[in-house]
Amino acid sequence: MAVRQRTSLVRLGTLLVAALLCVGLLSGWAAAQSTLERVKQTGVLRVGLEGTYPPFNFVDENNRMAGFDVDISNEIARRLGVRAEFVGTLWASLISGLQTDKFDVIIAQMTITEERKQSVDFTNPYVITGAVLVSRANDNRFSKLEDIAGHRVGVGIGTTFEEVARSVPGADVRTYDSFQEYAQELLTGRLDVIINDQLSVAYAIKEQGLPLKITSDIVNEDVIGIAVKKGNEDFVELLNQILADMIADGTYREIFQKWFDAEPALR
Amino acid sequence: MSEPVVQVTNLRKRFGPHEVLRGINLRVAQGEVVVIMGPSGSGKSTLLRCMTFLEVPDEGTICIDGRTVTAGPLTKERMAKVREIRRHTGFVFQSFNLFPHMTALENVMEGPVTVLRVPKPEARRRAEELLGKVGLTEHMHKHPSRLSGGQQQRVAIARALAMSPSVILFDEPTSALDPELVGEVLQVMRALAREGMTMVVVTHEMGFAREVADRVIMMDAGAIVEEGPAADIFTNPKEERTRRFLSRMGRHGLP
Amino acid sequence: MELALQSLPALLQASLVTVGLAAASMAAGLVIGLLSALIRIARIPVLSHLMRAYVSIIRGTPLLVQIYLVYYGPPQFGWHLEPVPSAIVALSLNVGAYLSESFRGAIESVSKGQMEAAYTLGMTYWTAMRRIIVPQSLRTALPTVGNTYIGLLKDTSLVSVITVTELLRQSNVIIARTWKPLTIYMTAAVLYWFMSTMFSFVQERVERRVSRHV
Repeated sequence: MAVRQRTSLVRLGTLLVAALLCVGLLSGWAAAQSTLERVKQTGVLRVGLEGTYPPFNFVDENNRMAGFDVDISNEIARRLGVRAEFVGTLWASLISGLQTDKFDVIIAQMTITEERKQSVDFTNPYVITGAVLVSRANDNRFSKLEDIAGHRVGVGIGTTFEEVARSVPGADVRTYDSFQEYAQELLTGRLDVIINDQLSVAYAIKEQGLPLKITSDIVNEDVIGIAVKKGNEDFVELLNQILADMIADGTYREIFQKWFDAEPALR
Repeated sequence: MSEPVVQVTNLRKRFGPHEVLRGINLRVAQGEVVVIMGPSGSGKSTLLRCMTFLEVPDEGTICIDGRTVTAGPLTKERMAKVREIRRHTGFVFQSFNLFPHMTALENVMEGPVTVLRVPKPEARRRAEELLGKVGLTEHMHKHPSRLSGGQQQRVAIARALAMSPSVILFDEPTSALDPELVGEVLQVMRALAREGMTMVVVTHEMGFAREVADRVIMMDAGAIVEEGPAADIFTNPKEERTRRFLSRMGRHGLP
Repeated sequence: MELALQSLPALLQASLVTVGLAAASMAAGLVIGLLSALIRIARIPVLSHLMRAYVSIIRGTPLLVQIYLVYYGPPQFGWHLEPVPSAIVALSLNVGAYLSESFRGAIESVSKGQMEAAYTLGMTYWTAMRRIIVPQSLRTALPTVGNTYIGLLKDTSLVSVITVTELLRQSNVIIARTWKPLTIYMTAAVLYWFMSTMFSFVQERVERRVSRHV
């Protein structure tokens, strides 16, 4: 009996190894059609974003995708001579979605980082903004990044905010899928402080009348670009050209000021 | 002598080390009623089941109504022959085995419609007629769960008859019935015998055997020990084993 | 309350997606489950081993992982599937494996005498399965199948992760705008409860009708 069990265990082990080998081989495979070709051929620019990150991208009362990113996307699509289509995806799944061609670009407040550049290519920045600390309105403990040490800090999973928070030794970093979730946790007292984009926080506090406040200067500058699947230099170049044109002819400023009471950093 | 309807030659079957049938030879003539008796474990049920390949025999030949199958592994060709034999052989089980999701009428129609491809209206007319014959006209639209054991067994007999079989094999048809329901089933079987149906019946009903059987076969330990007319076997058994069996039957009534 | 009412049209619409996903996946899952159960019971060479592996893999891995694999896997080979079809594929494969087990159990629970009775009428194995065994086992399996459907109805919420705007995803989207998780999730919960209960009600009636004779 013991021998029998051992042989069947060995067999199971062999199966496991075989299965893992298959997985390894299969994931090496790749399909090839350039993003630009596909966009032109289908007449659709598919944009990956969260859809839960106002005012950048969210679903409005009429059940339509809206926000700064959406306006930027529509303008880019217009200039490409195609129509923009939006795919709402969890933040953590955006890059894998781009790599598996679920959409053509990510226009979702994705900061350009060295790590992400390993997986995707970025255009020139289309927003420059910064992360700030946010606490409950009556809490004055947090004025600089080091203050979060020893406190419960909420950030979005896989965001640059998470990186910033983790750079502080002793910070109790907790991750969430969407901004609302950790903002909500801050309001209910399960978090002490959160880190998020200044523009988004200012908008949320104003629109929702949240009893929260921005308590620090910019703790980390976020230079945000459009992400494109690797190996599409022609498309990146074209997008860069379009962005430059939008900034030059004032369209970009117009869109920016529709959503934010400020001068855009990109001029 | 005319060609027998059933001819079993040297049939052998083992379950593991246990030899259940030790070379059975059996001939049943057209219109003959053969009753097989014997203590439990003597192999009588296995004999019937081997004849339709519900159990696969190890050795021997089965010939029913001119169709012959030899024992051996169930290849495609052999299975086709087996099905051919089954189509012409009725089988009545101890536990009825009616199809519970069908009414009595549908049970009787099932074989002709599904296997023989008889058009439905025709199969229905015939099924109604057969159910009338077994006295169940007013119950034909009921499901088996709403029928008594005796009624279910009569439906099962009608189901076997619907295939117009050359022979019907009865495997202890009344053993699962309450005593008061045995009579109605035996009565149907008597009527069938009178009409000249060829029947092989495994049963402990001595009264039935005495009255209806043309021949009684005594089996013990996988072999036929004695056979002959019911009167001879019951009143004047030659074999010791037959005597022992009969005296046990006498002491306990029906086992 | 006002917010719940305001968001109701959008949530109801998403509920239709949820019901549709569940119904489509269930339909496909029933076919997959029955076929794989039959293949396993008939011990068809090679295929039955494949089916055993399929059932084992599905039952041994989380549905969420299966959903991700179906959504992100095939594009690696250049095969693109939209989110909704991906969701239906993942859900039906999942539910099919569980139904396969239910059907196998139900088929095996049909008494041996039924197969023998069918054989003595001259039926082939597959005819007997189709006419006698499967119809009876479907009736036996009905309660399990119903419960599986209710489970599936709730499991559809997991496909929100692959951008399918069903009830849960729609709720999250509304919460992102309104900042009222309690109200919206409560409304969603009520809708899930309502759908499950409606189905249970139908299931009970069907069961009573169908299983009278088994």
